Formats: sequence, structure tokens, C-alpha cells
Amino acid sequence: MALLTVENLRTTFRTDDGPVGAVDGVSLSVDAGKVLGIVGESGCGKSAMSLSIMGLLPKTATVEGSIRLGERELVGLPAGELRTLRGDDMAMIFQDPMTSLNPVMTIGWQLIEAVRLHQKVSKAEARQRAIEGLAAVGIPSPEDRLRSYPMELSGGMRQRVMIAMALLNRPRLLIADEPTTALDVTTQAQILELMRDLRSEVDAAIVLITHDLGVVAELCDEVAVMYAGRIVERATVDELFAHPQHPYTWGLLASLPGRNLASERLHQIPGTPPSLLRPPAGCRFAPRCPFAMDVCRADPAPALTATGRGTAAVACHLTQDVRDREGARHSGEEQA
Amino acid sequence: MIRFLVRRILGGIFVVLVVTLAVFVLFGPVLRWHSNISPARLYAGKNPTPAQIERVSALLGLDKPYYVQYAYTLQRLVLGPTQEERDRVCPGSTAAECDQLLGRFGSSFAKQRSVDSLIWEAFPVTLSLTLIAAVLWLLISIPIGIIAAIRPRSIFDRVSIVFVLIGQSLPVYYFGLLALYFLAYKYQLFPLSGYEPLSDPGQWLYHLLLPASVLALQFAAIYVRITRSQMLDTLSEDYVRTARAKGAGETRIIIRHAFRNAMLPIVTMFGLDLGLLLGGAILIEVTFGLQGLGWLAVEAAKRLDVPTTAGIVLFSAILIVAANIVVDLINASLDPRIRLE
Amino acid sequence: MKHLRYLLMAAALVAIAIVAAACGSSGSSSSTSSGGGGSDTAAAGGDYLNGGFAAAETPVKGGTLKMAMNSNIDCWNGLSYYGISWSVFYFMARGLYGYPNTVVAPATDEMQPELAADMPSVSSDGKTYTVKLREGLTFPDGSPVTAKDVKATYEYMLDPNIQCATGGPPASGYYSGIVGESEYSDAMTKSKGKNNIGISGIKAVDDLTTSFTLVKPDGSFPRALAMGWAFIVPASTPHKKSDTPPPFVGPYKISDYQLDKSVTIEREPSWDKNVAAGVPQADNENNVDAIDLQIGVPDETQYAQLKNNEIDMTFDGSAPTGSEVPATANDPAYKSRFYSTPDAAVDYAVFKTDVAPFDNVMLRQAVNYALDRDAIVKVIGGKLSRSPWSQILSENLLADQPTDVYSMDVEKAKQLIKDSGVPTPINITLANFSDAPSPQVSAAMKEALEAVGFKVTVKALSADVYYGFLADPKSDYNIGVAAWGEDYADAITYYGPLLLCGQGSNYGQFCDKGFDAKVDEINQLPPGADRTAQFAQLSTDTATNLAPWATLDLRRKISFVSERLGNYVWGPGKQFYFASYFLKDGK
Repeated sequence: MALLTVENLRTTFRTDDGPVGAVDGVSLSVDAGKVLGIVGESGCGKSAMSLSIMGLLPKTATVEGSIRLGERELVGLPAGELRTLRGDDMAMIFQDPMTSLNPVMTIGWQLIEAVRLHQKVSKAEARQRAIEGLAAVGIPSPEDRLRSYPMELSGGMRQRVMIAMALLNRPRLLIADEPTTALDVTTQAQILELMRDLRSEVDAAIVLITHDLGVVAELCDEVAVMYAGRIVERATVDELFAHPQHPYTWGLLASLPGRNLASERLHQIPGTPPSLLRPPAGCRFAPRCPFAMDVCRADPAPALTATGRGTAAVACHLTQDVRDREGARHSGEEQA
Repeated sequence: MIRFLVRRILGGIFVVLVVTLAVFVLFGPVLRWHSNISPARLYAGKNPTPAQIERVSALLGLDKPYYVQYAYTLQRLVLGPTQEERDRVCPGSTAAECDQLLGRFGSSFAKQRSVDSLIWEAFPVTLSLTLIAAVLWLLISIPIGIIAAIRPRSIFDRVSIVFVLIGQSLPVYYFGLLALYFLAYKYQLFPLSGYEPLSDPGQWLYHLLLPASVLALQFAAIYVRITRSQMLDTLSEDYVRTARAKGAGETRIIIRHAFRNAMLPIVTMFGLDLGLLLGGAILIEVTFGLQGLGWLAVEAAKRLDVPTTAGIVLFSAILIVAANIVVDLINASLDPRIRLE
Repeated sequence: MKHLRYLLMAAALVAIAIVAAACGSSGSSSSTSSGGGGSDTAAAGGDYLNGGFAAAETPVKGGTLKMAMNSNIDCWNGLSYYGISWSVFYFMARGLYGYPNTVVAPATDEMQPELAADMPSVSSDGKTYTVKLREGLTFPDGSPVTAKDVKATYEYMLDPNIQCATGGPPASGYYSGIVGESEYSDAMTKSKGKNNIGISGIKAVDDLTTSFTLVKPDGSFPRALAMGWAFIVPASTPHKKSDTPPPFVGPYKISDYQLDKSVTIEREPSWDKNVAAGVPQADNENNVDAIDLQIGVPDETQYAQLKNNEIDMTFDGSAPTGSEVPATANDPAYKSRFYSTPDAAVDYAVFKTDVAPFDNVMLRQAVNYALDRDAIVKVIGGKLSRSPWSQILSENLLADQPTDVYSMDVEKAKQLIKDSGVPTPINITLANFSDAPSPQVSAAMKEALEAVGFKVTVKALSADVYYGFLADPKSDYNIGVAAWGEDYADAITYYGPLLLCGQGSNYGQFCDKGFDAKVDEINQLPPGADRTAQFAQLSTDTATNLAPWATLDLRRKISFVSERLGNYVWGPGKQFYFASYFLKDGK
């Protein structure tokens, strides 16, 4: 039974220039205890989707479709009820720990607030939980840290605090939006390790949003590749790396450091993602796709269809043969 | 923290020194050289002879070289007036009488009083006016600014922008006169003029409410604008999103998270405005006949009462410097980034 | 960054102070430009729009007169130089001599003995004036008024150390002719009041008799004994600075004074004894029981309070001003409470007579003919505020001389310029104040002068620097607009400081030996019709033949009072004739 089920999610922002469809018909699901990675370039709608799930979008955004947390439909839920779920049943970790903590409040204040917003416990009890939470994410002498202000902690420590804060109320769903992107490499590795450790402990469904397939490889069970508001490929991690099916995924794989030693420089997908204000007809990747055919540039866009390998699915007009052949060139096995 | 304070106070003293010098140069040599104005000439009366001017000059202490006068002004500020000056300014008076005539800021040319006593009598008026106005403008502007920020582009927001424009573009004296005409003269809801001391709080408030409101309206406009923009900024901060993700309610987010941070620049501005106003809200005081520091400054300037004018400028400078230090301290207590830097 | 902020704040402050100073000084200059002084004067049949003694009603006794003022007077100890304060001191104090309360603009020969028993007797050499006090006069504490008190009063008054802030010893020039006055001033200045050598020329001859000995004869000297600060005080009055009056001999006293806030004036109980001793007081005088004066009330507020009858009169307020003047004068609701009264002050355009082209008298006369004084009065505020004027002296001093020695005559002006032989256009610089309505006055003058062949450059100066500029002989101008008000009703107060060779206020450096001799000659005359007539004739002759300046207008006093204020009189003499005022409701 999936803990989080998203069906045909459409998130549209009203702007002065017209509506922008940041998320355009996305469906996915995550089971408890599993980690779903969502991969794509910035601006592809990953964050909009995660904020849609959390109900954190500004008023200029409309969300259509269905988001179910367990049995509960979140789309259309009154703001008050959604609020009681946030930070309790579902929690989120943000990209930049430097700016995500309130600079004028102590760590302790912010952690205790998180506890007491959802649980009727005494301040002392909440404080105890905050200490435990900090200890659980590997922060030394957590009691002292409660009195610290965010500015007194390093980026990695702050992200640990953010993680601790997210996990304080034992959420069933944890969304981590680029949790390591803003950190330096060593710290990234530490935080990833922490998340891996925590993953087994918390038994939550985790949605990990990243642009980095390397992170996906380390942490995720399944992965969905997003491009311009749509999911273009979905598979288990092993399957994706073994048989990448979508030209965009190939591009992403090629741009992984260490994967393309022959050219001695990082591969870049040529061109830029399309404007979501006026997205191109047909397959949205077509303008950048080296394999694009006429059919790709015409509506309807290719639907997400099963490849036949397990749960994997891809939205591409290329034939299975071509995809397998080209995919093999980009797969982890070949380059390894 | 102590070092922070010491640094601020030393800086403040330096600024006060610079201000005293500027005031001195402006009211002494500059008036003399640029405009051929000598207070002694003015105070010697109508059609004076050179001998009379010279005598008045000696009596006013203007016969010494400028640098001596300046050095003495500083010395008097710190140590109090010398016996020589006491003899000159208040011959035949007892020590207590002389204290009324001559103080650390000197003796008024235009009134038989020490500048200190004039300032201390005027200051409560300005202080009362400023404090009532400050309470009013904060009470008006902060809620309006916050609501406008959380509902940007709403009708409320647009109305508040119109309010800001009106408040900022209406000159305070013009608006003050309108208020006087309608509220005090025509409908007689408020007194036309004057100040009542705090010993009768009802009368005190009754006399100050109209001028304070006019003053407050102008500042409220500025504070609506700054509150709105600060709140818009902080509401889009990541930590506000974090607070939402934690499940905090809107009110809590606005007050405890966003406003707490948005307050910092508002506190800074408020402190400076308060400092400036405490130095005398000239137009309001003159329009409403409130004998505060601003009114006193105008009176003194009108009569080329150099010691009083200079004393008020200096007093205001000290207030502003003090306000700056207080603001810094408050900001430090509100914002650990300042405290810990 | 922080420091910079402090500095910016400091700079802003200083800027504010300067702005305040700049705004302020234009205010002060208006009092300076009006001559600062008060006056005293002969009524020359002035056209009082309202009021005047002709309309005198039988007064109701009692009540509190409510009065407001904008700026406090310099000091309330009686030693104030400025006319505005004299009127209120006339109400509270008496000197040796004074002027009757029944004359709006008393001439000098209408001077009357107040505490003195009679007019002073003059020695045959004209140098010694002897004054005898009335018998039975007392100070408020009951002690008798003696000649010692008179001598001490003048020494107190002339002590340079204790002077009221503005004006030095009240126009000590009036008394510099007394033998020993300058030695006394010097000694007191040098010793800071410790070496009181007294004024040798003032002697207490006996208990009631005082003599004043002068260095040289001066027919105008008795005026100095009647000035608005020469009030007799007890000899025991300490020589120290004070903002409250010493005990005067007078009908009223200050019972409460809050600096810059309020003054309360009440009846002085000892007064009746002094009236019994002969100090003049008519039955219809001193009617109110008290005056309540509120200080620091802005002009606009005063105007509103007056309309609402919340106060009875303004002491120094200028409202109504500008277009409010005719509006108030013509409003049926306010008409009966509005007054426009001739003042004893003139605005004049002084010629720099020591440099070309106005060293030529024909050109000075030409300017006098060319000017359109009606147009000038119009831009200043109309005939309620000013009267067109071309005499040297103000109205009250003119006796039966014509008020219009020059009337506008463009042809005559052109002819004079032609006759002078100076080629046109004649380039001249006109100096005037920069604040309204002076620029409009300059424009009107420029237009009139250019119509007859001058080429006028206008130089507008801020009020703070204006008189300094005019007085500096090196200043670059040919005509400068100035104002003068008499100190008392005698033409010498015009001729002396303004037109004698080398005087400080003789801005145009006018110097005519014949004129000086004539002034000196007439000045020997005692006060009276002859002196007044000769000085008045000199005004006409001088304006016509020498034209040292071109008078523009005579000032008028605008008053607006409450409905219940009866017998309101204002005149250049005592200014406010408080003694005659009464409150119709007696409250």
C-alpha cells in the first residue's frame, strides 16, 4: 500500500504574463520505508511538486489532481487541517540550511516550537525531545546547542538541525528538497550517510528531490526523472542505471562526474529547458533531443508507458530498440 | 558587549564634538564673514554707536578670538561656567539665582535664563508630543503594514498605499492647519493651542492628541511603507517557509517569525526618528503653539540667540547619538548576528 | 558606516538649525525693519477705520482681559527696548513723565507729569533740568518715593551689566547727554558692577527734587524722561538680571509669570493712594481687573480664537494678514471689530548720495516723481495696511504740512532727467529684501523707473544680511528700500540717526551742512508747536529740495478684537491703550 499517491498533479502559477504550468500531470507513489528520488534540472517542477504536496505554495498557485497521504486526500483540504499535518505526518527538509533556520531564534526555540506545535507536551518534555532529536542526527553536546543561534553553526550542522527538526514528530512522509546541494563535498557525504542511517530507523516514505543522480544512486529505491513539469522516465534505481530509456536521462547520466572520463570534461545537455509559460508542443525535450523526430514535435506528447522491465516506464517516441541501444551506451554498466 | 558599548559611546562623543564645532563655526565666524551679522550689533539696540556695540560684545563674551570662545564653550559644557563668566553674566545675583541665568550650555542672549533651564523646560513638551505621536504611529502603521504585506495587491493593500502617498505628500504644517481649522476651530473638539503638564494627565493628553496625531499621520505613512516592504521581504524568506513546513499557524508565522525579523530595520529607523523628533518637531510645535525644543529653536534663531540655538542643536545631537546607541543595543538584543559579530 | 550615519544625522541637524535660523531671521527683521522702536505722537487727523476716542463708550468696570501673544517679549523687568512691551508697562508702571491716555498719538508737548509734580524747570543755560516729585507717593510696600529713588532708578536703568537681553541699556543714547553717564557705564562695565560710582549729572537735591545736568543743551531731553522704560523703582532694587519687574508705582502689577507661557496682571492695591497724591487717572481709565496673557500662541490660532471670541485681543499677532485683511474688514460678522490705524513708521527708498548717479539731486527728485506709490501700496496689501507717502516724517509729526510733496508725474520726472544732463538709460541697482512682498515692490519700482529712463537691476537680499549691506558704505547699490519708526513723537528721531552727516543709520551717506545746521538749530527749541512746525516745514523742504530718499508708504496697524472689548484704541503713542479698554460683560 503506497503511503503517498500523487495522481495527475497539475500545479499552475498565475503570473503577470499568464499561467505557468510548473507541474503538468504528474503521477507517482511511494511506499512507507522507501525512498523515491525525483531528478531533473532546476526549474523542471520538482520543487513545485514537493511544495504542492506540503501545501506550501503561495496563493498564486493552483493545484489540481490528487495527492493522497495514506487514505487522506490533500488536494482541497482546508488550510487549517493541512497545517496540522505539516510538520507532523509530513515533514520537509530544504535546500539551504543557511537561510532555512530563523536567524534570531535559538536552535532550541525552533526545535521546541516544532514539537509543541503538534504535541501537547510540557516545555521540559519538548526540550528533552529536542535534545534527543539533535543527538539522533549526530550533533555533539546537544544540550549546549539548544542555546546556539543558527549563525553559530556550520552549514552541515544546520542541515542536521533541519533534519532533526523534520523528524521530531516522526513523520510518515519526509520530503527532502536538495538536502545536500548547498553543502560542500565532505559535508554532503556526511549528510547523505546520515540520511541513509536514518532511513532505516524512521520507516517513513521519503521523497528525495535532487538534480544529482549520484545522490539518487546512494539513497533511493526508485527514481522518477522530471523534465519541464512532466515525468519522462520512472524506474527502480538499479533499472534506471542499468537501462536508462529516455534521451534526457542519458544526458543526465552523461553529466555525472566521473562518468565521462574519456572526454575529460563534464558533459552538458545542449540548450536550456523550455519556458513553462509557453511550452513546446509534443515532447518537451524534443528541442534539445539529438534523436528528435517529427512526431516528437507534434501533439500529443508521448505518454508514460511501461518498458516491460519491472515497474519501469518511459515517455518517448523512440522505439524500444533504439532506446535500449542508446541507453546501453549511457548505462552505469558500460561506463563502469 | 562592553567593548561594543564603549566603542559606540566614544564614537558618539566624537560626533558631538564635531557637531559643537560645526555649530560654533556656523553661528560665529560664518555668520560674521558671510553675512556680516554680529549678534552684538543686534543686541546693542537701534542705531548703536561703535562703543555700545563693543560693550555689548564684551558683555556677551563675543570679544575674544573664536578659538578661545570655542574652547571655553567645550570647557563649560564639561566643567560648568567659570567664576569669571558668572561675574559677567550675573553680577549681584546669588549663586542660586546665577544658576538660573547661566548653565553648562551658557546663558541665553534673548532671555534672562540659562540655556539649560530653557531646554529642560521645553524638553518635556517635545518628549510628550513625540511619545504620544510615536505610540500612535506605531499602533496605526504596524498593523496596516503587516496586513498590507500578507495581502499584497488586495484592496486593503491598495488603500494603504494611497494612505502612504497622502501621508507623505501632505506637508505637516498644511495638514496641521487643516486639522486645527476643522477639529479645533470649527468643531472645537480639541484646544486650539498650548500644552498642559502631565500632572493633569487628562488635560495633557487632550492638548497633545491633535498635534501628536498630525505628526503621527506623517510618520505612520512612512512606517506603513517600511513595515509592508520589510514584511514582504521576510515573508519570502526560507525560514518562514520552514516555519510553515513545521505546521505553524499564520498568526504565529507573521508575528513570531516574520515580524520578529522585519522589526530590526524598523527599530533602527524608529530610534533615529525618535532621536530627531526629540530634538524638536519644529513645524508641529510652532503650528500648535507647543513650547517644545523646536519652538524654542525657532524663537532663538529669530532673535539670533546664539547660545540657545547652539544649545538646542547640541542637545539634539546628544539625543540622536544616544538614540543611536540605544538602537544599537536594542538591535543587538533582538538580533544575535549583531550581538555575536 | 555607523559613523557616517552619525555624521549624516549631525549634518541634517545643522541644516535644520540653519533653515530655522533663516526662516526665523526674516521674522525678526520685520521688527527691525519697522524700526523696532515704538513711538509716540501727534494725531494728525488720522483716518481711523474704527474706534478712536470719538466713539468712546462709558466703560464697564471689572473682568479679565484675555490676550494672546506669539513670542514672548525679551524681559518683563521693564527694561525692554521694544515698543510692543511699553504699552503693557505703561499699564503697570509710572515714570516721572508720560502721555495722557486720552490721546491716540500724543505730541511731545502733550507730555504730562506723572510722578513728577510739574513739568521740569530748565536752567538758563539749558543744561540742567530740575524735576520735583509729587508729595505722598508710595511704592507697593508703603515706603515713600524720593529723589534718591529717582537717581537710583536711572543708575539701575543704565547699568550695562544687567540689561534686558535685547537692546543693551534701553537706548542709552537717550541719556548719553547726561554728565557722567559714559564714565558710569565704563566703570560698571569694567568692574562688572562692583564699582558703582553713580552718575554725577543726576543729583538728589532734596527728598523730592532731582536735577539732571547735561553736557550740552538738548531740548528733546524731557522726552527721555517719559520713555517706556523710565519707570521709577525703589533705590533698594538690586542691580541684577531679572525677568520679573521690580516694585513699580502703578495701577497694576504682574501677579504671576510663567516663562514663555503666561503672564497674569492684577490690580496693585497701593495705587489708590498714589492717585490720591495726584497721579493722573481719569474715571474711565483702568477698567479691567486683570489681564490674562497667554504666550506662544501661533498667529493663525490667535486669529481663530479672536473670531470665536475666545480671546479679546492679540498682543503681537500679525493675523489677519494678506488677503485676510480686506476679507475681515468687509465681513459683516467681523467688520465692527476690525481696525486699521496709521502707525508712525515709514518705508523709504534711500539714495546713495555719495556716488553717481544719485549725487545729482535732480535725479533723486525724478525718482520721487516717477514712483507709483499707489501701485506699491497695492502690492504690499492695500490701503488698509499702508498709505502712500512721500514726506520724510510720519503723519503724526507733520503738523499742517502737506502729506503728498510728490505725486506721480512721469513728464516732470523725464524733464528732470533731461535737465540733469545725465545720458539715459541710467543704470542703477535697487536693493530690497528677498521675502514677500518686497520682490513685488521692487518690480513695481523697476517698472516705474524704467518708464522714465532708468535701467534698473534688482538686488534681493535675505533679511538677516539686509541692513548690514545697506549700512556698509562699500556696498554696491544706488537705491535701497528701508524702514524707520520713530521712538517718540519728535522729528529729531528721524533727522538725527537717518540724515545727519556720518550717522550709522544714514545708509545713503547723505550729508548737507545746511541741513545739519538747521536741524541743530531747531533742536535747541523746547517741545511745543513751534518746534513741531519748524521740523515739519523742514520735512517738506528737505523732501522737495534735497530729496535724500523717496518715501514709499506710511505703515498702518491692523487690529482685530473680540466683540466684548470696548473702547479699543491703538495708537503710535502707547500702542495699546490698555487703560481705556473695558469688557462689555464685565467678566
